[in-house]
Amino acid sequence: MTCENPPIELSSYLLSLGRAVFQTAHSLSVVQEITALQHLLGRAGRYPVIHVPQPRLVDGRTSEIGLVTNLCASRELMAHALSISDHRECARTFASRASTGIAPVDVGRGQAPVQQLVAQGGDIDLRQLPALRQHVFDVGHYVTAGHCSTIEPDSGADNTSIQRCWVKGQRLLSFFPYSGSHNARNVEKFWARGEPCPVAIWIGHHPAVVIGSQAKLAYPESHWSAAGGIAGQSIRMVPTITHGDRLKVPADAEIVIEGWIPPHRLEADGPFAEYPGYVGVQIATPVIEVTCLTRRREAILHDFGGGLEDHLIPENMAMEGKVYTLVKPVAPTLINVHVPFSGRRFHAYLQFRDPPRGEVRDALMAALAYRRLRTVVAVDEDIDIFDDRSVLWAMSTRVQWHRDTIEADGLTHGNLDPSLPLGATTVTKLGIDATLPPAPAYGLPKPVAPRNAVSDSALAAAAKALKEVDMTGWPST
Amino acid sequence: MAEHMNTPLPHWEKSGNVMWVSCRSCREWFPCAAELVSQNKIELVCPHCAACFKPADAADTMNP
Repeated sequence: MTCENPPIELSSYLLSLGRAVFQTAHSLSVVQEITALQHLLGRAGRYPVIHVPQPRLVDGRTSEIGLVTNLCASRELMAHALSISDHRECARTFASRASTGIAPVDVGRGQAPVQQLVAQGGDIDLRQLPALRQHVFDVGHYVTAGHCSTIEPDSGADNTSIQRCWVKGQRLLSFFPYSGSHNARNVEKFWARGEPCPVAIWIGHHPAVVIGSQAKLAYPESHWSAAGGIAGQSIRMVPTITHGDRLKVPADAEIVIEGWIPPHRLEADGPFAEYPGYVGVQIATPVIEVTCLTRRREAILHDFGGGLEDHLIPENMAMEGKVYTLVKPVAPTLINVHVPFSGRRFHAYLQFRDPPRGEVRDALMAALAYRRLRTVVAVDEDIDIFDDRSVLWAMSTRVQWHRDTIEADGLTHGNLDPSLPLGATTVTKLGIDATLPPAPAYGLPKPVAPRNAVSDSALAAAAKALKEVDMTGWPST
Repeated sequence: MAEHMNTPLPHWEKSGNVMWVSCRSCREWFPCAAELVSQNKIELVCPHCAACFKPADAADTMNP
């Protein structure tokens, strides 16, 4: 596909989803109530996109801008948005598409829906956005799905990454780039020159662009080609009002907030309920002085439910592609990767088909080098890496801890690890080889007891007996 | 400012990593990065009542 296809965007995507969107007529408050809806649906194992056309602001008024959340909570919907037939195929597809890439195309302001309405200076009021105060302890209302774009000052290469932004005032936001992140490096380089860092935050887009822009790349390297490759078509870009051609944003986004990050100005940010499932404590972060807000006429604010599937799934799917890319060259028998929600962003499961001796341990070492991962588990093809119980069964029946684990100290880590000792700057990581020993020769059985099984014909007979049986009231656990 | 100090633990025992601060205004507790408190440069913001205050002016603090 190329840019000759109709531009992809959020509103038309929502229309295409049919019953997979839950649009509530209730007037839900931006203070915890919409997030509570996500919690209840998650407990029920349901992940529709949630569209609240008229969220209720803190002062009781109805927001002019609608809100969508849970956009990325379902792996099935995310795969569908990426035209992947099965979400289990994400790792290979991501790795392939990100490396191929499709170059972005530039459009003028007249062709950019995100610049249909422009507010500058005193006309800006960020408090009119239906930004949520999601959880107990959250210090305020946060833009949670803001893709913050900055520039590497030497090369001019842009970077875009999701960062939480607390709406601190009419034209002031906090800005939390993780230490060591590409945005943090860009900010530090501008500050070392005594200059403010240009920034633009784009919010809301087709989920293929949301997930595509999270491809894990080198530094400095613009995300737009990889994002186009993953989305399957060129991303349409438009110069920002404030920074011009120096910093562009997706023309088909919903909202863009532009501004500057003043040198060395740090203010308190947080607490905020973060991705590990715990409250991220109050810290010091840079701020953004906002110069311009542009949006569509019928803009929708995209929100990520902090620490919920909605927040984790797109990032984890992108991680699967990156881990596959890292490991496959050293372990050709790798067939799939899953970064499970249960492990937040700290665990990965690697699946192999008949690995020779040593290859799994090579693979574990390669995967552990990925900053965010703390524990990597390798399993065989018969283990369902999308079912935690299946992986735990492999760990409980195929591992001798003294023999099958690799522990490595002093490695980099993902931020917000709640178990990190105070003051630690590196972590201990663990690789677990939960594969079976290899067969002595090709075509022979593995030298271990076979797993319990019933025949396919017996399964078919049992399925026939259960066909059309009403299972209501049967215990599920 | 009173402080609830913990005795350092041997490395094989679990220890915490978060400091808690009691708001100068409403006295409610909230979690805070230890370095933010020790540096005492930046005003904290209470998530319960929005009061702003320097760490040294907290009603109480609890070390990890």
